[in-house]
Amino acid sequence: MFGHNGGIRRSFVLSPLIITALSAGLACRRQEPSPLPKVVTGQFPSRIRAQVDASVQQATAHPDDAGASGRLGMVLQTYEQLDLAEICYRRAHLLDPKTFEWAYYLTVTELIHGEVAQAIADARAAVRIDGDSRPARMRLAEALLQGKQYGESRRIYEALVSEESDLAAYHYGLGKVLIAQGGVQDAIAQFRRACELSPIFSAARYSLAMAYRQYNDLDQARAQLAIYQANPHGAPPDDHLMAQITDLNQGGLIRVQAAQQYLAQGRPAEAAAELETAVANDPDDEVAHSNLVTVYWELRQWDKAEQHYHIAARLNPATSAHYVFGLVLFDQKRYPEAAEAFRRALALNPGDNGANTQLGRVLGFQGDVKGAIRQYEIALRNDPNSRATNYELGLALMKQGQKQEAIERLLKTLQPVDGKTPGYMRELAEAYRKTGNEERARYYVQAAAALTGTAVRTAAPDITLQSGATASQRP
Amino acid sequence: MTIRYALPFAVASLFTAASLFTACSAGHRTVASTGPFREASHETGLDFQHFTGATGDFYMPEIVGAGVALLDYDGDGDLDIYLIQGSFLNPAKKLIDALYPPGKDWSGGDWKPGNRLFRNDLIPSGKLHFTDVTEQAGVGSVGEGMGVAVGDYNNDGFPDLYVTNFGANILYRNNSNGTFTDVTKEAGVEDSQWSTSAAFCDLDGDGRLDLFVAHYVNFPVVGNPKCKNGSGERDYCGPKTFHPVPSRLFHNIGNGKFEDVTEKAGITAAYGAGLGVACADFNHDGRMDLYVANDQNANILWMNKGDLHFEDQALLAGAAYNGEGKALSGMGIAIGDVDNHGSEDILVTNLMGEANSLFRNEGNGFFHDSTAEFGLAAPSLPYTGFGVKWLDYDNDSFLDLYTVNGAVETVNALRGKPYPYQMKNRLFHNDGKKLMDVSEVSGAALQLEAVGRGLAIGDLNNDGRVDMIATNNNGRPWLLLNQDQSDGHWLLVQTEGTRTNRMGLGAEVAVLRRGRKPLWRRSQPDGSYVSASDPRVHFGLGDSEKIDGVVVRWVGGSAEVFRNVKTDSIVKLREGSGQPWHP
Repeated sequence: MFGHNGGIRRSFVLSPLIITALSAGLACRRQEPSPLPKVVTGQFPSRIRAQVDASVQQATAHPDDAGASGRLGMVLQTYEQLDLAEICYRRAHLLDPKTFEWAYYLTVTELIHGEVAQAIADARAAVRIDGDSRPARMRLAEALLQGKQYGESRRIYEALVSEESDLAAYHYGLGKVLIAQGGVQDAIAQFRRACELSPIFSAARYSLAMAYRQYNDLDQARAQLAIYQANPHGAPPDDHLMAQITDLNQGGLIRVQAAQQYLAQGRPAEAAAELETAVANDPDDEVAHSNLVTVYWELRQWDKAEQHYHIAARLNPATSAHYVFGLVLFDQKRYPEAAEAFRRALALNPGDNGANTQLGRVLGFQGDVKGAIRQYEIALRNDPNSRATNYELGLALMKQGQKQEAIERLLKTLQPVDGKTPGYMRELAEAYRKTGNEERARYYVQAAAALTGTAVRTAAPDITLQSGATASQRP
Repeated sequence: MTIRYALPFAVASLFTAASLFTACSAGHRTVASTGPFREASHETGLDFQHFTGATGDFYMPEIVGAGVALLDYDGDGDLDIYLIQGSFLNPAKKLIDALYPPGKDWSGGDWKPGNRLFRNDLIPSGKLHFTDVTEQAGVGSVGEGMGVAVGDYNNDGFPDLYVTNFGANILYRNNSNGTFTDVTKEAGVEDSQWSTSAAFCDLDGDGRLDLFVAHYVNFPVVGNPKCKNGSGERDYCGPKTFHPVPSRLFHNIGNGKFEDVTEKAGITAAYGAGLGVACADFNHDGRMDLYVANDQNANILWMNKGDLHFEDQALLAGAAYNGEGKALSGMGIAIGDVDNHGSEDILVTNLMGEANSLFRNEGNGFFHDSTAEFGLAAPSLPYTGFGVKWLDYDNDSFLDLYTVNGAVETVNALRGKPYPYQMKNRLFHNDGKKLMDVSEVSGAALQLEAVGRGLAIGDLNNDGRVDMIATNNNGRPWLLLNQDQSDGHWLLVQTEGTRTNRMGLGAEVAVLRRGRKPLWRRSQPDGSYVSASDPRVHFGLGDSEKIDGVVVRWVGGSAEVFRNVKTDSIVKLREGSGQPWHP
């Protein structure tokens, strides 16, 4: 339509438009970093406050230093201030788009906050910086899955599985994409592999169960759910980048959480080490002292247990350590003192199942069976399914000659089926024998033998650490 | 460049640049000055301020309450409001000790402790206004109130109240003359465990409403632990610090009496820190089941096996945990058929960072975590959700969703402020294919921030549009009047049982529309969080000006169809006055 000269004139006119548009676009991508977040530390414990304040000062003094912003973000993240951490990571990433860590951590926080589109964009940025990083590629795959971009997500997971086939998390991720795409059988294969590689991976185990259910194999679904229930909190370890954030934490809570994990794995010595570090960092950490009573009770180190009990009680007369100190005394056969400790616990919480049950045991050992039964019945009001309480009550009722009632109580100890069940079954068999019901006695002896597992301390109370945690903290 | 091109160039450049800069500042959205809801508590006389009783000891019950009930207590055809109040847990404390004394922003005159009943003056005045009638009614109990359930347990035509507390619960029998009597002991429903949500539901199909009460944890006031958040500051403890307590089931045996059948019914076989309760028939066997949302324990799906016997089938059903097998912090419950596929789905509100859970009912008693699929995962991650309800706010026949949010530990951005737990509520619009978070374009009412807890929905002004009451911990409730201007048709159905329970609670109601699938809803005042909603069944009908009839499937299985029902009206359907219906 236009002649040559017209074309030149048009491009002369259009060029400034294009330049303007490009400039605006570049300015758009080159967003100015938002200001550093306001961090209020007045109520933090002094050690944490010092650490956070130092990071804030560093970032404030060097506003153009991406590393300072990023490190502040890491410190904030380790103390669960994720929204503020995200602001810092975004600053760091904008100031220094070439550093992998900021793009990566920004992606992680965006995923936690459900900012899927941003997470995809920033995960892509992380992968562009370091295409070999498998954690970054996995985060991108995860973000794409959340963004329902299943095709690309699947390709990334498949590549990860192919490169590192013994990592459970990759198989699990691939399984999730396959389920989303309707490929139930293929998903089952991936979840199975994840569980084989990491038997404690509870999310994979649960997903496998649900996939079997979707496939209408209810027997397998039930079987997998039974395995899942035995360990519902297991997860593969976090990647090394996230571990760097965890390592910054100087608070007591993270030590308690680590100690809980060690205890769950049957490693009380490591649990003690974590908690000793907590009290070394903060001698006034009553929760850590209280938990050390528990751990040293497990280790049967009575002197240390008693030492930490007295500190906990001095720091907080309403400490939860009264109960476990009662156990420490009980195991040393110091029954009157044990009773006193359980009564102190009950003064704080009259409905506490554990303290009522253990006080009942003490009374039983002191010959007061009626008193013991009374305590067990109080204990059951709030926790009627307590195996330990039903067991003790069953034994006490047998002593009183109330055999039928005793058997009813002992029957309640058979669920869930776990390592303790054979012991409970043998006790039930003995009860049936005393009532003259040999058939049922034989049945439970055989059932106990059929179950794998060794004899365990059937009278031992279930014990967990006190987290002293708010709602958002998890075991 | 000649001048002829200069001006268009300049304008075009400016336009292009402006567009791109606007696109850059994507964080700024235009909020509509009006939206589908308007906060109207002041203008309607709903003067109430929730008091937590907080004195700096971080007693957990302070942060958990409280709820609200909508009920027509005087039988005049409009919904009245009953609000639950908190109190000091330490009886030695006085108002001067309170960290957040009521009185600030309190314009209602002298503050009165205790729960409050507000009579709706719509009928006969024609104006939506509320009058405090607590003293006359005799329902102003003082305590650490949690929630309330509504049901006509004695089938006398007047709804009664069951109030849950941290402390002794209370059953108020409606005397049908504007007053109530505390009949807790006489009725046999005494319960002093920390109770949260409760529901009246006919679980054995005998025409009488039974009562299910969720219990939370064994919390010791004297032995209150000092819990800390992730930053090491003192804050409210989470439920894992304490031991959960089994819920309780009371069987209505007639003559105003109940029998505790908790253990007999199998309810002690499973328990967690119960916060939400809802009744529905999840597997279409004609028997009402129960769903309990537990806080950081597996949720429970009590399937009714008949003869008042229940089994927890949540695990295999896929309704215990989220899709990754994690026990979330279940608080509120909304039951509804989100995609009109013929079965009731379950939505549970959870803690910030967990996302709410939508368990879609596959129709056979199995559920699938479909939260992300329906677009509800990401938008709910930043919020701690409590009260929740499905409602068709724009009368387009699709169930929308409103969630009430408020934190239970310090919100980072509010650290240092007096009550740092405030959040915004969220509104999700359902267009039949997906749910979209429309909060940011829904006007000022969706920009309010508070520590949200209870939610009850109902048509407060009988105009065919569903309104809401959202309660706020340590704050005033919000009366959210529906002012949506969509012109969809509607129907409001009040069920009245004769052989079944008098209020018709639990009845399934369907609107029959030519050429379309029946639209099913249920008379369901329970669910949400510690609150009770309008038992009338609301239908948005979209462009269906005429309908073929209304089906009611009463609890217990019999079904009737009612013809010649006009849309855009409130109808009362009495059991026995329709024609038998066979699908």
